[in-house]
Amino acid sequence: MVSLSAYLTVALIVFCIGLFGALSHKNTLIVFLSIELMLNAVNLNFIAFTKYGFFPNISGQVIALFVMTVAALEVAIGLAILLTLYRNKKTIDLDEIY
Amino acid sequence: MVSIFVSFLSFLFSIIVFIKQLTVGSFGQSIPWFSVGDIQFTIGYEIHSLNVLMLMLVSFMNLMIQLYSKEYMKDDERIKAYYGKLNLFTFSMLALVISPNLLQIYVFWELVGLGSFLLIGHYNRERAKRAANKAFLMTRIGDVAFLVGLILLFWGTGTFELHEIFHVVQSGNLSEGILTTVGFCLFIGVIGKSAQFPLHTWLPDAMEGPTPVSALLHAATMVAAGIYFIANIYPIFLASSTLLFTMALIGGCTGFFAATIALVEKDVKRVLAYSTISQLGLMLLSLGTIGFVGAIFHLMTHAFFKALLFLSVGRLIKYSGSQSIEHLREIGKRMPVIHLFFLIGAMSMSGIPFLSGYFSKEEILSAVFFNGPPFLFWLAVLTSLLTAIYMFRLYFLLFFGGAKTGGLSPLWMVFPMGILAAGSIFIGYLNTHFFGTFFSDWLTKNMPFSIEPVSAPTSFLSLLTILISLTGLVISYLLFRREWLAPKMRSYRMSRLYRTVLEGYYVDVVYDRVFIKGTIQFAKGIGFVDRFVQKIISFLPKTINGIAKQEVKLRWKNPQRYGLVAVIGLLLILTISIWSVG
Repeated sequence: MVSLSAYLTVALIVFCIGLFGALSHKNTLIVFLSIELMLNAVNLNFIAFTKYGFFPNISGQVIALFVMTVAALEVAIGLAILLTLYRNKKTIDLDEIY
Repeated sequence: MVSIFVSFLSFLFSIIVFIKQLTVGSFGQSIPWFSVGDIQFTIGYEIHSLNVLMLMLVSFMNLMIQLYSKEYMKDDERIKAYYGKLNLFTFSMLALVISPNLLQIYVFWELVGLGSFLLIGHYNRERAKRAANKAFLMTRIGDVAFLVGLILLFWGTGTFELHEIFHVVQSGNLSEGILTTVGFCLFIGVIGKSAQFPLHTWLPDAMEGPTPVSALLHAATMVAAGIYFIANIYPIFLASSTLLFTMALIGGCTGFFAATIALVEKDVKRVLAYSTISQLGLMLLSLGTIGFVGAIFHLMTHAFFKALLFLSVGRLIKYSGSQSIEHLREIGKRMPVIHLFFLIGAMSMSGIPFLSGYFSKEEILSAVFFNGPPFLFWLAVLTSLLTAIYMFRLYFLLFFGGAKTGGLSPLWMVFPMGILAAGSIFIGYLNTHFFGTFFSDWLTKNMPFSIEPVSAPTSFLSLLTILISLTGLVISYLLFRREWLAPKMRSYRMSRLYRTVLEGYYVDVVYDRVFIKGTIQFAKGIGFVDRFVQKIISFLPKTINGIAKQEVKLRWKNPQRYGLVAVIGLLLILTISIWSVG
């Protein structure tokens, strides 16, 4: 049996890795990946609370599903934007986009 | 004109009220106005002898002045505005005299000030505007003290109703200190309104207004308001001998001081203005020495002859368009009617026997003689002597010059002057010690407080009064008609003393140097501090603005560092909140 704090710690670590990546990397693709990482960390929290929260019920899992759907949409649009950006500017480096 | 008709109605109603008062005695009525907490403020009217006397006097003077103005102001393009202001002025004064509580009195007191401000500044001239401003500001100085006195009195007695205040004062529940302070504050208000030293300088300058306005201002409304007010709250002053003495002292000194200026002044109307200040001083002196009846009696007779003098001088001014004696003496002689009226006015004012002024002056002198200190009595005697001299100086200078032109006066002017002249002669017989003191009996009987009657003047006093006026007449005749001592007079004109007096003892100059310049300097100092504070304050928004600009730059130039800052900020806030809660 894995305790709630273990789940939360893993989620925290994953979130911090995502945050660090989003704030430090210059490559837009990696920033993008890092944001996904943060979303997933949040998802992990939701699911952990579904089982170990004060009021365990199914709604946490439902929200996780929603987040995944939204993330998928976001990725689709984000990648499309990145593609157009690359075609126009020949770079996806954050510092050089502007 | 509608205005004249309305004034006539107002006078008629005053007489009706007077008759009712004679038959029924004092009456009045009040209705609640508003209440604050438990205290109710009322509004209403009260009629007793003094009120009804003022009511008649004011409405009568107003009627005369309005009749006269019809001719005097007929070329003025703003005549409608003029009549409107005149009526506002009279309305405020009438409402003032029937007010039963101090709050109401204060409201109309200020309205009277406003009316005079508007009328003095009637002519569209720079000097008139300045004079109007000066009159307003000078009286405001007094009014501030007046308001302070009012608030103190309310604090002490808990009411604005006059008869309740009298009740508290007479029962002795109010401490001597508060009473004196209150009385003193109210007295300063009166000084401002009745143009006593040191707030007198607005009155001579107010001569820039139209002459009928000066007549109204001096006879019945503005300056009389102060005397009326003191008489109306007389118990407050009676309760403190310090107050009475201060009042007598200021009145007596102002009387003498203004009379000396009137002696040398070159502008006809300013002579009359200073003479009003001097006469008002005598009234205050009389009030200060328990001569209640004398003061009110003199107020009434003074209204008649001062209005008459102003109106007759106004005729000359209208004719020649100048106010200086030098110009006016060219025409005086050829106007026999005006000559006669002016002579009556001047005689009455100087106290020539058996005219109105004689009786009232005698009354004042006897009050001062019996109840006042000797030096004030001799000051009053000297003032009366000066009065006679300067009045006849004006008379001899104006009407015995080499007149070249002249003309008959229009009926609209002669009629009111005739009535006033009759009044100046006969009104004094209401209260004489030969035929009976009807006036004094009536006045003292119906007041809401009791007044001790002043003992009848001795034959010494009567003789002295006669002697004063005749001596004045003779001195004046010798100096200004026969031109005795002419070479000495000429050298005297060169002297420093003469110039000092002519400049009104430089009171205005001192005010200008000390108060006006001082205030400007003070304002400059304050302005400097203000700018300094402003700089400190404006430093804060500038800093915040700078930070905000940096932020915008960061967001657009480097979104990732911006995000980092945001996260650090968030962590900081979280830490602090956990710290403070935990």
